[in-house]
Amino acid sequence: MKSIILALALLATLATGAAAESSFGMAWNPSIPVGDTADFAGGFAWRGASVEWRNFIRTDWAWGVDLGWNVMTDSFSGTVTEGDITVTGNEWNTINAIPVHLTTFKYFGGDRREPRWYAGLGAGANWMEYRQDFGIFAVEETQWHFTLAPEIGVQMPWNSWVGYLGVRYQHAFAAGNVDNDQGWFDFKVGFGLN
Amino acid sequence: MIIRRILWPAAVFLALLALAACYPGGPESASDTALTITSRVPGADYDNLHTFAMEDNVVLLDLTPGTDPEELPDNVNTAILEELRAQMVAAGFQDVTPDTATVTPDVWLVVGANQADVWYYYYGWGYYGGWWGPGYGYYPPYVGVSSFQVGSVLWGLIDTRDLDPTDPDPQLTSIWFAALNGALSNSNTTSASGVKTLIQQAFTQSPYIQAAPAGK
Repeated sequence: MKSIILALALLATLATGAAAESSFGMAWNPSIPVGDTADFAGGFAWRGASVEWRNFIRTDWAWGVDLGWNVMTDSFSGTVTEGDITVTGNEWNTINAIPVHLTTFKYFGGDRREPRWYAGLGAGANWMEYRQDFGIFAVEETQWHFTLAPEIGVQMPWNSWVGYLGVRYQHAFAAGNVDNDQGWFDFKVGFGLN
Repeated sequence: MIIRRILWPAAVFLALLALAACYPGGPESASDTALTITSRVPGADYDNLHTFAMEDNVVLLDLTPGTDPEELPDNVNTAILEELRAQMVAAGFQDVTPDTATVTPDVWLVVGANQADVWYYYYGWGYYGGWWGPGYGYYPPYVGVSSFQVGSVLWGLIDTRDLDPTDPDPQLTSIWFAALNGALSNSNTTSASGVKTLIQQAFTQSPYIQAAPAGK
């Protein structure tokens, strides 16, 4: 997974100057899980990243793709009784999520010397791995989810250090053995997207 | 512009990726992995228990054929036995020595430790030369464990109230099973102190292990 992201990041660096109508971006994506996801691995998660490509078919409209990675984790200590058996120990829950989305964005304003607000929607899939470590035991479940990801943000002027700032809500629908929808907000602190 | 907007941020981005881990957190020491597992036995009779007896040594359960089991460090061995005895007494049981025909414990606590992998347990009774009579030897009940995870302490509480001393193949009932997984680390000092805490937890989460009030 890391090698894919590294390759895309390198590609983004090389390709940025080549296409005037399209651009790449790379972002740090800290996240905050909500709902059932928060029950499993709640709290602020600083581990996350994404790369994306946006192709402008008009000055105020782009479509593209993005590939991300979010890691959410939480730990618990306590006692669980199931039938006649009682267990006390530490539990660590981790979610690895890799979203792959087709995206479209509406931009509000066309002057690249000014911050440009945008709103968009991503649709695609999320490969999610749910891992529970309990003592020295571990249980893993992996599942592909269909995902919708609305996003709002601002693309910074072309000469600023930060490329774009955004917040996106990823909603992964229940699938397979995962009975409940999953969701989290991830924040984009992005570079690129000139 | 490319350098400021792309290359420098890319370096920061890649550094962040390098710092990230798929499974952050998680157990980092033996104490983190410690599990206290207890199980009551369906249908077991926990009433009218008054006395107990236990072995004077933690049985090392080493199941590797052809090898001699390693010795449990004395301080760890002592810590386990002392804490188990203290907790049984705190639960209201009277510690008795079943060496005569007149003193029989209601329950027998057997305890072992090992360093193997997957586990299951069984129990039985060994004897020789009769039972508790003059000139006869005494052999306590035992719990056999085929294997368990690294650094584990296990014990069982055997109900001996209905034991027939003349039965050469008595059927015994285990009424409580407990396992401390991850209790033994490489440090004997840590093991001795940590195992006491885990034993206390085992009794805390098993309130049904309680002697009947005196006189009942």
